[in-house]
Amino acid sequence: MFLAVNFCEVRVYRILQMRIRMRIVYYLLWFVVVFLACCLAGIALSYFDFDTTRHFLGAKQDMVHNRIWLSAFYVHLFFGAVATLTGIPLFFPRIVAFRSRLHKQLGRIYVFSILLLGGPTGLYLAFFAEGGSPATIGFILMSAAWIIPTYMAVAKIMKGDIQGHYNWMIRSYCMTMSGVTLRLLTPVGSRYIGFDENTNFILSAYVPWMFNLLLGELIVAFNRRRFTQLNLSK
Amino acid sequence: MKKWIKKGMLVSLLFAVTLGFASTNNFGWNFVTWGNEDAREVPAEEIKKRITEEVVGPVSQLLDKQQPNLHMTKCYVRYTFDVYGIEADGLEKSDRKFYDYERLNGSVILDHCGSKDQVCKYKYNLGNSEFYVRESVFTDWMTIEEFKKQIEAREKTISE
Repeated sequence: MFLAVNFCEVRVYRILQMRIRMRIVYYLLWFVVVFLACCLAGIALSYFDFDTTRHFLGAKQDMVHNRIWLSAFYVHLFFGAVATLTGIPLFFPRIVAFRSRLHKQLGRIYVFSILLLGGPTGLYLAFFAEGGSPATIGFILMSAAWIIPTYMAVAKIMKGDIQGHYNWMIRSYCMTMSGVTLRLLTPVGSRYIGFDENTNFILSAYVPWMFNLLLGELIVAFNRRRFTQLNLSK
Repeated sequence: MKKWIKKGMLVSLLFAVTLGFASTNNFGWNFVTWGNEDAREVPAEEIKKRITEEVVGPVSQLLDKQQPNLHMTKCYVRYTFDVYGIEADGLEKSDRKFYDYERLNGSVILDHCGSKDQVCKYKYNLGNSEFYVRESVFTDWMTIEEFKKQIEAREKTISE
């Protein structure tokens, strides 16, 4: 009898210990995501000194004279940054409760930023991307992979399918973060693997969104069990 | 709201795709040329002439003054340049278009008996003919006068 009670206690203790570890890993990963999202937004907003000779714009001197292209570039940067920053609190019910008015307002800003502004301007910019037509096709697919999950998330919540909405939002935010993956993988390709400039441009149009799409699917699969424990009535 | 989103999204996407073909894109198809009406295209010959006169000229003068024996060889010694990595000799054949307020960047190159050395990097503003040079990433961009002063100061230090 004593041994049985003791065995139960040890088991409960181990489960608790594992849960605490999982929580720590979960918050650490979120900390990395928040940090990278802030970096991405910071990079995007740094272009708002409207100096068209520096960084990426310095290399796109054949396009900066085109007012449509330049406007689309700034719209894409600004609303990309808005989507990156507004997306984060939506995943934390302790910060913004799922059923609260703030969640809906932030969600609307996130969705509008992607569906009406960031996504379509990304699609337009894809036609003039570095790396020629293969890169253009890659960036068009990237825009589609950003817009479709976001639209699906809206469609799901309109139907009242909360689990579906949550899963599509995970995919959508993973695609929002593909801007980070692009910036992390481009130097890896050029510096550590040694791809030439053109190959690197083309690869950076495909690899980041494919990687993040896969990551999104893995998180959705991993979260399936966790979702049942989420308190959506908050 | 959903219908509004759907309609807005479709309009934005159609608009984006249409505009994607309103200027010469990566597929090389365009039905009009919108957005760059003000931009005057500068022919490659003019670019070549302007960079040779306004950038390569002053830089080479400076170097000739510093090393007057540079050209005293039997082989061919000349100053040339590249723009965005496109060599001056291949500029006309290149697909790259240049516009009148573009800021070009490239290198001034010393072709010494077939061996090519980078003299300095340059940034040249086609709009106001302003240019800046730097020897390497370890030094700042500077005007040709500052560059001249730096070289003279360096010579003075060496002679002392």
